Amino acid sequence: MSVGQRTPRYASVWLLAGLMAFAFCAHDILVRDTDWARMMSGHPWETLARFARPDFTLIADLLEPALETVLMATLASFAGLVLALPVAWLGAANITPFGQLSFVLGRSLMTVSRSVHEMVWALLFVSAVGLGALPGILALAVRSVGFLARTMAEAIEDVAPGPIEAIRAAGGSPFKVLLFGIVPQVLPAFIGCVIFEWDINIRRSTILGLVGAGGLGLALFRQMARADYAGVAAVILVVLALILVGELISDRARRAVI
Amino acid sequence: MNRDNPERLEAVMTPARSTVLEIRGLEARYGERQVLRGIDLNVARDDFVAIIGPSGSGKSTLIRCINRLVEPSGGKILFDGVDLLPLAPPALRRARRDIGMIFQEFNLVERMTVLDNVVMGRLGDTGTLRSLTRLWRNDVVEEALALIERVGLAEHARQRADRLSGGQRQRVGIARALMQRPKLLLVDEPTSSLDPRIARDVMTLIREVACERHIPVLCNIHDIDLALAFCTRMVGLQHGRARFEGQPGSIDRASVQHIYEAEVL
Repeated sequence: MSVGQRTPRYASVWLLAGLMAFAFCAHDILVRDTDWARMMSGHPWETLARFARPDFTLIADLLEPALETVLMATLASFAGLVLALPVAWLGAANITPFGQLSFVLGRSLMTVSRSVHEMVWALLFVSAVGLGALPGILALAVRSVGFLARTMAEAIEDVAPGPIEAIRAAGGSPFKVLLFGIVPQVLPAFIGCVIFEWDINIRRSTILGLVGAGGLGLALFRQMARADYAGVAAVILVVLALILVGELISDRARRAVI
Repeated sequence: MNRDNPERLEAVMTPARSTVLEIRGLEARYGERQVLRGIDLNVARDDFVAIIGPSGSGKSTLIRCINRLVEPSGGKILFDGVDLLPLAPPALRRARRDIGMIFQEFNLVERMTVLDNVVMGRLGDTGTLRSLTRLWRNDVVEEALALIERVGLAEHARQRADRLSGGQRQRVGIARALMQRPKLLLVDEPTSSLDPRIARDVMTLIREVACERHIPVLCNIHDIDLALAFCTRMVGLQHGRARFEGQPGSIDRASVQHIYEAEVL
């Protein structure tokens, strides 16, 4: 029996099964769950229209939370770097201290950090240390470890062996091999990563206020609670501007390093 | 066989006073594969010894066994009268400071300046704090600058190493090795990454600086013509054994051809 004879029949079976699954999901989630009475009234459009007229008088009051957001992202990126260094050391196959054991530990820590959402980390730290910027910083720092440690570990694994050999041949101690053989090779990658993560952390920190972790997110949450949609729109505009500026700075800075 | 040559046997039994390096029955293996099968070799103060042989003959392993970048599995390496094989890491590092090494791929720290790369030859004697801050001692910097000038890179001293051409980088490698004030130079295929004209310049420079400072050289080299032009003595390696040894004038072309034939097959 040739493959050519079987493929069309199987394809149609899969297509039918896929369509049925899609129809079931659409019916269950969209058709039954939506408030159709509201959808049919003019309400959704009226609300969206209110978002379209941002309350610019609010902007001045948003500068301080915006600064707080940037500071949170900055501190969190530094803290993330400090936390990521030992994790990268564990998770880099060529320098991991206790073989497979520490390698798996390092890689697992990276996975845990990345697979838990920053909001969940924030909830965790808010309940632990109370409201404010600190739990936000902690959440972002822990969430940053995954990406930072992983790219750093990869940079360490890609180190060229030549300079290391030369320093050993000249009688350099293991510390000097690290300092002159490894660090100069990985430093640009490390700095590039942290800058990139800083940019992402600005984005993340704007939303963390929703769970009480300070910054622009908190302002957003307050406007939302008051159903002040023009205010919400103003906050969203500031967030957008902040992210654009952050991206611009991060792009320039990374180019300067590499 | 050379082993049966009575003249050479005598040389083995009573090495000249000026002998810097004495290798006896050196063996090395990578896992199951035996790479060096009992190498004997003397290097005296004004020697320029070329080790020739096809790739895979063990040239690179031999040279790396001497400063134990590759751990030998047997034999003796007497450097300045001290056997290097039983040395613990701190003593080994002290011994390595006296052995300069020049590499095929230069092995510079690309993102650092020529000057910093050359000063690195003195890393073994540099304190941790100085290493961290890169505040090198003035006399060390002066010495490095003089060496950079000697290898013809005076105007490139403050440039980053990755801005230089291949020949220039190898000159930095030579200056770095000299910065150690070595009693022996190990040179591993110094010209394989360079084009032929630059290769001759680099070999000339190595021979000149070695002569000026009376540093013996042990040099792996694939290119027989370069070896014949620059060495005072030649050792032919094949399958981890020394097949012949002698002065360039006394080397029989046929035996050279013979050890390279295996490579073609």
